Amino acid sequence: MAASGKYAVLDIHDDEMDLQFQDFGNTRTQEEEVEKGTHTHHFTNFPDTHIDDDDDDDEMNNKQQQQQQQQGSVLLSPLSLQYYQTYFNVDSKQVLERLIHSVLPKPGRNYLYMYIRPNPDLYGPFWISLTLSFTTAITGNLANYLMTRPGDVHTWKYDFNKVTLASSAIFAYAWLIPLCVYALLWSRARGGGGGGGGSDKTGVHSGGSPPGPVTLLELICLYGYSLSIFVPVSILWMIPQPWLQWCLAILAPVLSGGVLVRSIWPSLHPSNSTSKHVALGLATLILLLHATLALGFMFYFFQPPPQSRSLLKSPEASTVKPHEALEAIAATAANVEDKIEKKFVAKLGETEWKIGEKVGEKTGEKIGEKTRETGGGKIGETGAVEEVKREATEGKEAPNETTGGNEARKEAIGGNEAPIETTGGNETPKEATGGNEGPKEATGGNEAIEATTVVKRETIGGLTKQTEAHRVTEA
Amino acid sequence: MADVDNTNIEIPDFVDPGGYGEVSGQMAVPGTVGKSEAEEYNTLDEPVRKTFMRDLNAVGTKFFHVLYPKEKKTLLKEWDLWGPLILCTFIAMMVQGSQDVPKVIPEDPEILKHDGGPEFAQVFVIVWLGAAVVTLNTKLLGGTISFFQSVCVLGYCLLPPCFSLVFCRLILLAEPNRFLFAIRFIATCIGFVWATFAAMVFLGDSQPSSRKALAVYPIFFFYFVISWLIISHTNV
Repeated sequence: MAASGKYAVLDIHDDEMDLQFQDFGNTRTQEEEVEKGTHTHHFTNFPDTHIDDDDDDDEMNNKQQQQQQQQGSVLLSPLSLQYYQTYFNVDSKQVLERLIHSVLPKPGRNYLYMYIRPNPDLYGPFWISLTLSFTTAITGNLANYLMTRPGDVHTWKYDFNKVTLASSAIFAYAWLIPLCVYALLWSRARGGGGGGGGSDKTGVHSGGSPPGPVTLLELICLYGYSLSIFVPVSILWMIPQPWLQWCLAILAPVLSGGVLVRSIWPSLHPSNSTSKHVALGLATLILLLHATLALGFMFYFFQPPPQSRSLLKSPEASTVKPHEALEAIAATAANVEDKIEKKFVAKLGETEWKIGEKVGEKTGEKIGEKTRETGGGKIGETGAVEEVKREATEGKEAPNETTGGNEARKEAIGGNEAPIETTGGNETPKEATGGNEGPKEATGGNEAIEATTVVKRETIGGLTKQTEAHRVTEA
Repeated sequence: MADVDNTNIEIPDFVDPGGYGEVSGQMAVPGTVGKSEAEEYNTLDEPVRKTFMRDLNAVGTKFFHVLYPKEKKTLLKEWDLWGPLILCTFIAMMVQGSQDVPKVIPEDPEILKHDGGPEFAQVFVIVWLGAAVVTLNTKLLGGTISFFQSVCVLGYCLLPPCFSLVFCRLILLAEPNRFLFAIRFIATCIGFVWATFAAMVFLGDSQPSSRKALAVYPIFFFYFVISWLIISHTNV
């Protein structure tokens, strides 16, 4: 401090003081001055301001940040916006490149190293997941509409709950599965000697070169971008041609799963490890999960609902007598029981489950057609069979869709209750999609109703008993 | 030395230093200093009608600027959330699924008791949470706009979809057929494109040009979802 009051505080020939005021209390420069004891300006002390020439307002902010970085650690708090901005540091061109190359498995290049590793981001995974969930729900609704439209009347069963279901499934897949895979890789690396394993989320590699272990952020990025192919595929799934749907359902997971597995392969099977079989098994598991997601979408959102086109061709009540109809129902129900038994008793594994799904679908649809043709009064049963089938499909997707499973159980309960309620001739307000038409059934005659309900109960009991028994064995 | 027993001493609680004159006056509202006394009254004192009309004028001016997006300052500098609230409530009330489906179509054996549309709360959450997420995305990508300004713009730009919703509702009064559905579809598309374009005009300059597409896509998606809710609503 200057000695007397005559001198101004800013003494020009005193460089030290001048420097301090200009620096607003820059401790680093003060330390340097104390060490060196000279009065000259040391321009090398200053941080690299030439990088931030274009932003005059944030100059001070950047200086401080870069000084912190020069000191060796990034001191951004997770409560500040700048921390999360580092995860969104991409340009439009980069995002487009990543999207395109996520579905083209080129043999010479590794998607991860070339496109993602320099700069992993969270913009892609988040917006792709959100887009996909809405696209699936919207095109699922549209597909339903296109398949069930009877002539020009727009009676569209519009289901908003598809959105919530789809978004739960997709976000669980895109964000939880990378977590599991990361934990798996981490535990493998730990268990295998801890040499090559990476447990560092900030991306500091052990060797500093591209072949390092994959980090959690990169896994989330990979999975997010690999879902991007399903957006156009779900639009194409609206076309009601089964062969096209199956083609797409096989092609899409193969392509994007291929890129995914190729990117992760160096981490699954590092060069110093000898367990190639485990690595192959893990790769197959990842591919299977991907395929399950695709098939799950196809079966849940894009299959035609059970009142299929054959109903529309013969809308008038037929002249088949009730007891013949009962026999037909019993026969088909027995067939269903046999088929489901054969398939469900088979070994555990997701491929087997998928076959079971398919069979359940087809037999459910057949029953639907037959009972429709025999006239009114069978609607409760198709409702119940629908629900059994849906139970079958949704049970398989339990790891991904917990909300779907609950809905299936609720609907199944509703299905079991339906026959009991129709005997009373009551029309219940709470109803699943099974269709509950009191007035129509009453016109069939009371005896017919009672007879059919007895059979219904039995067959339904048989079906559900069967499925439940087998579920127990598998559980 | 103070004498405790002597209570005659007067201790003044304010020592006048002198030389300042009379220090008194009115506590004026900041910004009105300098005006004449007749205008200097608090907004608490004004009639309710005047407050209401002032806010209504502000909202109305902003609606007008959304329909003809030429001038940006009004929406951005003096933002408010009344308009978004009114529009969101209106849309949610119109679009929500109802419990009583009065029409029975003879060919359709499924009589639904609930027509499958979204609940009021779902629409509300979609609008507000959607606007917040889009704003957050803009800020994370490096945008220079503030949070509430962006939410205000996104909310006000819901006005064209609102118009198309009213139009569709009127069309739904007639017997549905394919031609009328095409008209509804076109009206909804116009509303959607108008909303996206208006939001882009207001929010477009806040992003560096290399990331503009990344910032515009969420806005596009937000209005797309709302337009889908509008076109899917077929129950009168």
